[in-house]
Amino acid sequence: MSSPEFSNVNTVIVYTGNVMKQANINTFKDELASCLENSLKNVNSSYNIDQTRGILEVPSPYDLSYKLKDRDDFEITVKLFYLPSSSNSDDNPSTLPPSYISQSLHHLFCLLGITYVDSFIVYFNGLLFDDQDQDDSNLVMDDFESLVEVWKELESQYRNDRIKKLGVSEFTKNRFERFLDVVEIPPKIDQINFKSCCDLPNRMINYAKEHDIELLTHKDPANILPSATFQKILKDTKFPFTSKLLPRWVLKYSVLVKCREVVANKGYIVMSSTPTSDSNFTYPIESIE
Amino acid sequence: SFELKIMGLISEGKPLPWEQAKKYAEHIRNHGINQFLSIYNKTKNRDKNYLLWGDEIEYMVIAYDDESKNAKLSLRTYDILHKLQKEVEETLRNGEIAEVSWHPEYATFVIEGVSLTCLLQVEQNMKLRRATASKYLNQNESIITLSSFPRFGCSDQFLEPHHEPFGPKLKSAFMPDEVLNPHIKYQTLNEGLRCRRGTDVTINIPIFNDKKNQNLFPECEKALPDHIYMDSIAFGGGCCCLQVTIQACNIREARKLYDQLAVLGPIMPLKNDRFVINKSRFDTIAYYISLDKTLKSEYNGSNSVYDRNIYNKLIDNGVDEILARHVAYLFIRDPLFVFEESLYQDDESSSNHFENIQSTNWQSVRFKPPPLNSNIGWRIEFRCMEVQITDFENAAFVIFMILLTRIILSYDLNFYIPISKVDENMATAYKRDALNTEKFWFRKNIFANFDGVEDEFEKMTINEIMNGKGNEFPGLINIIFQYFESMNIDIETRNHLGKYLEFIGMRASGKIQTAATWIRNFVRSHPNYKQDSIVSQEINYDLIKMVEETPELLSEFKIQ
Repeated sequence: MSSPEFSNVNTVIVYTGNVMKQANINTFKDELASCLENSLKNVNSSYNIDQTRGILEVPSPYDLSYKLKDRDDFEITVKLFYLPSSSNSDDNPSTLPPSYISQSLHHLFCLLGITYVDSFIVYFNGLLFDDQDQDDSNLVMDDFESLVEVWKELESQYRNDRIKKLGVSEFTKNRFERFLDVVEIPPKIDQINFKSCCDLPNRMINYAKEHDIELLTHKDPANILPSATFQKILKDTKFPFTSKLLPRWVLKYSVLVKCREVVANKGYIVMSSTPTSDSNFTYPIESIE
Repeated sequence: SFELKIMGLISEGKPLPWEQAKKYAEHIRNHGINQFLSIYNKTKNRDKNYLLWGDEIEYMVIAYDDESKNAKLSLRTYDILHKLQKEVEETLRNGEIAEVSWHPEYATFVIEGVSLTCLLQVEQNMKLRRATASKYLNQNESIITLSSFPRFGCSDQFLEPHHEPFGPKLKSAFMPDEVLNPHIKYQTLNEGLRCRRGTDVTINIPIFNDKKNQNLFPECEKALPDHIYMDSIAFGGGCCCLQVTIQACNIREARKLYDQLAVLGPIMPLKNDRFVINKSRFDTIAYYISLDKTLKSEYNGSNSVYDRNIYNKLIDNGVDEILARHVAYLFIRDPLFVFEESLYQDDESSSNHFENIQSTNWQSVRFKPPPLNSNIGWRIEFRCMEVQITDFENAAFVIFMILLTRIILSYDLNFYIPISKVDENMATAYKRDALNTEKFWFRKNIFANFDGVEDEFEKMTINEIMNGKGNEFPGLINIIFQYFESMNIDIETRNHLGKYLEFIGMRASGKIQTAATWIRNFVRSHPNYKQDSIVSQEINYDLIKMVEETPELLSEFKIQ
């Protein structure tokens, strides 16, 4: 890799590829970090650069030229994590750029050769589920407006048939009620953290039943990719990039074979950029092939 | 709903006595192969079948004599079964769906399982089976699921009604002929098995030696000292098991699952089937049959027993070598019973002769082609699990097996070890308290991306296999939990499935006792026990009462 090629690059997108094929004891501790490392170790063999947008893409050696056939046989669920470092700079961390929606969808669609996903779940950094809804003070007015802006973008993708079902993560009953007051298309899924030791969140379970919401579970950590972790992986794999990179969003995707309960493909896409770059690049919906 | 399990032969009519049946062995084998080829060619390209499963549980009916404190095996099973079958027939006549079907040995449950939430119905249906059967019991009777009846073959009265041993069919010093299922098929089965072997059955099982030893069978010359001596196959047939049948999406997937589950067989709680006749019809599999590249020829070892003529015929008709050898191996067996009325069949529209040979091979895993004239696909039957005392436990093991197949397919897991090592594991599994004290051969790296080491397998404990081994292996249960993370699973389903898996994990680690350990402890701490390895009538009565009366509470009792 030569430096001149990278002079325009301010965004690096890394693909883990199918993590089911990369399983080992380490992926049971930190699946994302472990598989990112596998991709980055391999970066010298293949990478793509979009000079116009200044994006360097690091593919995974695990599914080069993988394209999904017989789309109807599969159910594809994605979850977009807005990371703590999702905003443009270190000192304004609470912005949630709505452009991340179209970015993540575009890159996933290209990766898998698809034109829609069945479910899109969005996780807003910092939200934690508490069935008693004791304290929602961490969700201040600015944050809330930011959430709604992101949601509007999701509604737009939904109306264009790019997403069949919309979902949120770590929403309590209160958050839901507040949200439903202002959005047009309600979330049909709420994915909350499953803790086997604790009692079932009955308040939320009842609310979900009443409002026809699927209450799904996950075990993702509150911060799925801390900046420090990401930078350490870049360093350990000797990634040849001089500027600091901050991870902005992570898209986790699952491709399930319908009626067989088999995972055909599961992976992550990580978008990172330099601290001062404008991460608001977008892809118009029509340009998705 | 529909049958996942075809009942083998349910022909009416009288089977030929063994001497005559022998003459038709070649005929049945030849036509059986034609029938296999017919089915194979029609269905080898069947694809995208859904995940469907069924399970079978074998029950015992107990008749209590409360006055003399005796719990006996009831021979009314056939009558009860008949009433249950009539009930199902009536349900079907009314145009309703029959959720359960009853067969001479087992009750089966068939479900159209297309989501993980459907797994929660397994236990419900097991409870339904118990409740339904209970309707036809007498006041002094109950139905239990115990892997074997403790006083089976004991010298005083263990059967209700009582019969004397030394009958003409079993010729057993311990078992009256009446223990044999009265259905003519089973009577002939027994005759066939006995005649084929040519000698009386001799089974010696090491006794649990307690403080006082006795020579228990002084008159029997075949009895080994310090062993329990049994002289009839009826003893094995009297053990109850739990079976799971799983539908694969196509033949390739079925072949892969057959191999992988065959390796895992000895790891699961095993039915007390103590026939160690090497590679008999009751045994582990003889050959792996998958088309996966991960199947190395060394795993199959040097076994080369199979019918060469049948093999060649299969090859000539388009079957690949691996599958041809599997079928040619199954077909070395003679049919055990032959019905004169159905000797001559149209091989394109009947599968009786094929099923005849197929269903008399009782290996730990069975590879089942689609039945004729149905949309059912290729299936694998996992046959060797010991039935558990409670439905919660039975459901847990059924669910675990189904989830195991999901992670095998999702992660492309490779459990391959040489078949000789699977045989060793099977022998190890029969040792007392093997779960807590023995180690089993297990592949060191079951994940697809392996960099290669010299020895592919090592010895691990059941606990390590299930719950993990430090920094080396996550454990099957944790792999299942991680699989859940990729699925869209609702919180109540996740929670409930988690409980089943937690139970299995605690069984594997020894935190929860097995039934065998619990029974042993119960007997040894019973006031009536004389430290002499003998389970008296009264101890048996109390034990069976405990098993029957407190199925839910029993789980608590068994937590150490």
